[in-house]
Amino acid sequence: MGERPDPGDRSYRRALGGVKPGGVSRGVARIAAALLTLLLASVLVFLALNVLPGDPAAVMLGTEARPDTLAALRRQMGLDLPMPLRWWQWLTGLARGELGTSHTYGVLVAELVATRAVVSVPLALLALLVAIGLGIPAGLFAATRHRRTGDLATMAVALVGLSVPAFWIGILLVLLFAIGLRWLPAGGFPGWDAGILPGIAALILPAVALGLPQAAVLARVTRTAIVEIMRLDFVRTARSFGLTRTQALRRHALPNALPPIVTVLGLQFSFLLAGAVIVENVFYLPGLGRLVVQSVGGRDLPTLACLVMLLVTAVVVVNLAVDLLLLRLDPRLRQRG
Amino acid sequence: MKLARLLATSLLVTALADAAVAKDTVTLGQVLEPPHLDPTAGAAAAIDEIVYANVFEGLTRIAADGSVQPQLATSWEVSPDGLAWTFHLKQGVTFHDGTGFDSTDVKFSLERALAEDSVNAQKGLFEPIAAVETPDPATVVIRLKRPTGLLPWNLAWGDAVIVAPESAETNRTRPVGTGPFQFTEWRQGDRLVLSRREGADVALAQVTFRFIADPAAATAALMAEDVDGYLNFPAPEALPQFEADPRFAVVIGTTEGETLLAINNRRQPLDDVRVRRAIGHAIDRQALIDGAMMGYGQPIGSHFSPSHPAYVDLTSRSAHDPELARRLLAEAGVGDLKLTIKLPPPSYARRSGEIIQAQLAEVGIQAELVPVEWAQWLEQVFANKDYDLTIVSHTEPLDIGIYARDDYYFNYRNPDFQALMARIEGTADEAERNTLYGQAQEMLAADAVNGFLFELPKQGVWNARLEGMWANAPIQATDLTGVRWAE
Repeated sequence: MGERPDPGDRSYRRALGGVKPGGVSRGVARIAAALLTLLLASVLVFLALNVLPGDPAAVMLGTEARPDTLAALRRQMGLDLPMPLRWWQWLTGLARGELGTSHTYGVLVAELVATRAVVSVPLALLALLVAIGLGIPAGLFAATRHRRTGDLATMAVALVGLSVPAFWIGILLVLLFAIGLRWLPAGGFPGWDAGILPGIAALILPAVALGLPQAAVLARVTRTAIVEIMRLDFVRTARSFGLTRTQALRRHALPNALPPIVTVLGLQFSFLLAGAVIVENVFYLPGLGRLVVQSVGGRDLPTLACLVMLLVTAVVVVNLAVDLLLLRLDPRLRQRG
Repeated sequence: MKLARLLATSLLVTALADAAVAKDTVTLGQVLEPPHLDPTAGAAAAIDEIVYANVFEGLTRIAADGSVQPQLATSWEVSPDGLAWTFHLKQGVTFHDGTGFDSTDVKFSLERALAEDSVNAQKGLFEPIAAVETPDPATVVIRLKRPTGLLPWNLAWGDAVIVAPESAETNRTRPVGTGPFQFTEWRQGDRLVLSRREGADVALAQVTFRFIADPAAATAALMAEDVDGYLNFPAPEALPQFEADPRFAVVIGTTEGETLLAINNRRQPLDDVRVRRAIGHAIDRQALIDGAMMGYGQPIGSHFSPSHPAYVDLTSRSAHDPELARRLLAEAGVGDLKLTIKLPPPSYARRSGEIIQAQLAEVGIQAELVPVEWAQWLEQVFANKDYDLTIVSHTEPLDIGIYARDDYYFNYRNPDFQALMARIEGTADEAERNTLYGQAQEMLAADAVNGFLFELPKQGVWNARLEGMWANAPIQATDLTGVRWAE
């Protein structure tokens, strides 16, 4: 690009604002706010779970239970202790990193959740990959063909992707790839110790089912953001300096369109981690979402408390990461206020 | 695409390798995952559906035809007064961890179930036992408080299996029994694997249970042959699809699940037998079975399984007769009756609820449907008896005795019925006991204690080459000891 003025020039960047002390303190404030959110959430979680009607011991003993057996099981589970004492035990346990033992399974909650997380986290990441890989290019394509056939066609496909529920996509994928073509398993998860490939193979269909609707969202957000920015003066200025439309898009419009896209991505990751339960059911995957539903049904309070806290933490951490990333991406956020 | 092709090839190669050797592994789908694996410490049927007869054995067992057969006890005799039962034990049996089995294990297991801090869900089965004696390692004498003819049957339950003192506390996560299969692996939420123990006389080398509850997923898993079968398939509406497919055998059998429109017998005006009879006559059982169960399921007129020899068909006592129902309500002076029906999550309950609501409306009873979660049902209906009507299946075999319990949620208190149950318990002669069971069924039908709907069907779907799967479910179990692949 030799003779053209370099937009990446240092003085040009400095004019937009470099890292200033204000940026650091903003970051610290965001982290403090995140920690406070977690603390408040922990109190709410315990209170909410303990006003939940239903007795875990009754669920375990069923319709033939006798009062003396129920009382014995409640003692064994520690449910006969007064609530403030149980709350204190739970809180001090959390502080020591002890999450307790599952009422239902009788194994350590930490182990139980860990075996589910190794399914759910890769699944969420893969789904996100599908969403990014399809959504952003589709959005860019639509934006560059704004109001033309390519744009309308892409947005029509995105609308369909948005309207069709993920579990239905899942069932169709199973019909085609598992029952029809027999390329991939219909569901289940063989475990990572069976090898990386079988593990990934088991996650492909669910990841596509989960990722497609998210890709549609992302395509629309990307398109809107780019179209808005391409209209702005600085893009026109860049074009007047002699940059082609594509160069202006890549160098100026895309970086400025990133904040809304990253914000949406953050929300999507949190959703994919916790909200995959329906797709987990369709593919009978042992993920976190199904564990949440199971532990609600069985009133497995130690597991439930741990899961809710974990998901809250994931949402808070992802939000924090997005905030901090935006601070880096968007100098205006550092300068204002 | 490349990855997919690679995967497809590797899967194909595995499939071909499998076909080359005679198959001795089986993968079964199961709707519910057990909470843990100790059948002596929980009511969940899913526990027995994995470990009964496979991992754990009792002194006696229930066979496919519902009869009581010897298992760890080879024979037994009862003293003339009916108070002392002597069991002769099988010799040379060991637990999976290598510890030996003898009479002290029996004494330990029974005393553990009876103990103050016992969490056995069927503690009532052991209640007649006064003492357990071990004259020698191969003999156990059980002394009773009162004659109990049903003792060998009681001891055949999953809740009465024999456990070892060395492993009892860890059976929840690592079950150690005397059965032909031993526990291998459990991935919570996904699968559980049992494998044949050395020297065991069973055809299968490995059994995998996969927990797939969603009906669409269960159908897909069978169609893709990811699982070889379901002992009890969760979606009756999918059965015609499997019946039409030569790869599968569809076997409809019976269970011990009496499905009831349970009535709170103490709540006004349901405490009036005429009102309860009116509810019975309002129900068109066949329409209900056709509508809610796709035609599978057998009508019942009292709380008893049609597959039991003592069964008496009493469905005519509460035959569908809306005219009579309206007359009975008028006689009782009940007009404009509004009731709620609490519905637990199983699909039989939710679907039956809608049809029964419509049938009750025809005789002028307005029923409001209240869907509840299982934990809520246990608290509101079962524990606090806060309900008018509810729909639930009582799946324990031969459980008519619950009507003799004072604190049971039906709120039915009939001293005559309680006396009759006590007589049945003390009767050792089977023919005589069956006559008394007939009287008990009559009594419940006459009192219209509950709306008796249908016996829950067992909807088996499995690979047509799989032999020895139980057609009926006289007890909730997946007995794999006789299952093999056809040559």
